[in-house]
Amino acid sequence: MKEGFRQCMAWLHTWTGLVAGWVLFFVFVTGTAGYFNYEIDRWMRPELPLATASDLSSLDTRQAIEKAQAYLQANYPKAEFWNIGLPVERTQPQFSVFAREARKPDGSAGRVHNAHYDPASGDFTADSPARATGGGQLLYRMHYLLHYVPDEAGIWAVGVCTMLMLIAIVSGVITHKKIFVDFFTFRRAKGQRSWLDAHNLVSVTALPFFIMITYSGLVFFMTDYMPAGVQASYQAGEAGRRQLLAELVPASYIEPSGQTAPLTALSDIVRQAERHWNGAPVSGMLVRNPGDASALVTVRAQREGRDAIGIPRLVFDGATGEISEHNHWGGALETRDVLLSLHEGRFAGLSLRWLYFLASLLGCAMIATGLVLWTAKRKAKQEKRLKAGQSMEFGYRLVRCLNVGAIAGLPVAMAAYFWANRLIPAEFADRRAWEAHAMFIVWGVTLVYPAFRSHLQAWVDELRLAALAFALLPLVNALTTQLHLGVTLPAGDWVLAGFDLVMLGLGAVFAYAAHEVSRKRKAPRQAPKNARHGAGVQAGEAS
Amino acid sequence: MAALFGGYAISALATAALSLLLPRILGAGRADAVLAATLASFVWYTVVVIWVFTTRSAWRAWAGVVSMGLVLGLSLLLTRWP
Repeated sequence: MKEGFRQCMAWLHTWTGLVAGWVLFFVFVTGTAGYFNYEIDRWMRPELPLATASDLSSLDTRQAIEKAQAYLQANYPKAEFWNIGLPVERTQPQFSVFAREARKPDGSAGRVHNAHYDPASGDFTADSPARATGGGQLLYRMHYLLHYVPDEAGIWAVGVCTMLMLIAIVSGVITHKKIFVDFFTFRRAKGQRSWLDAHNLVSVTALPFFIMITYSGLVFFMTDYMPAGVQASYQAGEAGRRQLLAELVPASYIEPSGQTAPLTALSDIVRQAERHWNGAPVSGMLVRNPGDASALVTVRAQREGRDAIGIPRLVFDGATGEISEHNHWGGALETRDVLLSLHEGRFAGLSLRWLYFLASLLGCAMIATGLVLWTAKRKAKQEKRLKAGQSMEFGYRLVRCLNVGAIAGLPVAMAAYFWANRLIPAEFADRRAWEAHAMFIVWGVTLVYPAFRSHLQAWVDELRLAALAFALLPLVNALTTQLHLGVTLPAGDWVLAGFDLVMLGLGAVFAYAAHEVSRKRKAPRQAPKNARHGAGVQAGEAS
Repeated sequence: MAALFGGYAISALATAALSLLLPRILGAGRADAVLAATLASFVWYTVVVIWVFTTRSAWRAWAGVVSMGLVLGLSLLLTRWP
């Protein structure tokens, strides 16, 4: 019974892992990049000035808020809401504001207008000097919406795969009887055995991270995946969801009263908030229904350098300037917010952010080794078929080809996205869309290419291509912009310099991988002893 | 099949039942209860899928899923009672 149980878990782990594997690999790779989405944004907008002293240096917070309020009042007095972001965190490199117009009569959201502060003119301007680009945000969006599919379909596809991953993780832990001992085992260059050891090693190293990231990933759209609760207590569909939100966070859904009332001075509200937080600085605010008697102002505290996971917020009555009682968060909402913060690493400073990045890379490695392990485990049987004069099974060949195209090809495609950012002319009309097209065209080619090459040769070719594509990016950057390493390093602009350095690092990693695979391809056939060992494991673990 | 769809049906029933029951038993707010129940739903799904895969025959699995569904459905009906 016990063995049967483990075998069932192994079966469950194998097939949930395989079915969801490639989608999850895409989700993990683009999501890993997402931990540095703002830094990637910055690199993809080379027209912006080098990081120097903050462009607020000529203004203090109070003056800045006054200027923002004056600009928004003059331009968008009837907006549904205004947002003011001070340039104090990595998520807000510029002092910027945006306004969303009131909802249209059909209920759809109004237009959004962005503007940023121009220190030279001392006023806000809507024109950005930067080229149009999807930036790091687009990569980040892809990791939960995919691309070229309707949002709803993307959310569901990613959700189903995430759920499968959660099951694969739990069943994988159960499958593994000697998880602790095997964690310290690594048998190098032993074919299937090594892939299994590698898969165990990376999976167990960051196991808590993987469980956290899959579970919290499901939480983002949980009422889409599991609407039953909302349905039972409210009503089906979007309307029920909105009722739930309105009850949870009243400040997020306030209907305008229709009575006009001038908005109080926002700089006074900031002063009150800072006093309330014992001097902790403010990072921005959202003003709902400005100019209406129902106006609410939600002030956010700075997130960085704090131990708190949630962002401290305070809600004020916009007409009177008093602290309002609207902001009561219950335990469940708090739990959800903590899970979402954990997923996004919202609270993470620089070193913790790198740790997130590394753990996430381990996630990519876990999926990649798992996918390769699937083929390694079936290799002996397929070779027997070949010897018997039969051809290899189609499913096996397909998985092998897709593995090359996903594991080596997707990085090439991501590099192509960055290349496109530098090579498509800045004035080109549809450049934003074409950056993404370039990425997916390249990915398509790398997915098909392995079908026309011998398996190991395809690995070597695509890994080499990935190495070149990444390693040459700093050069392309130097040829097309003024922001190469020779400039960014002396200027101490670590966001820009860091991007180029990481690309060089990735190039080196892929070059090493290509070198190793190419050595294996040239090496003579493995000694028979190893082969027999592999076959024994195969028979023992076949399920 | 039992795992995939049966698991979802059970998770959905459990979520709906908890959303309605939590306010009565623990006195939680309606919105809080819905949120808490939905947060927990993925645990139920994982547990049911793994449980189905550990049972020896498909018959047992189906029997288990259906009886669990009946219990949850009944408790759901009871909460609708005034």
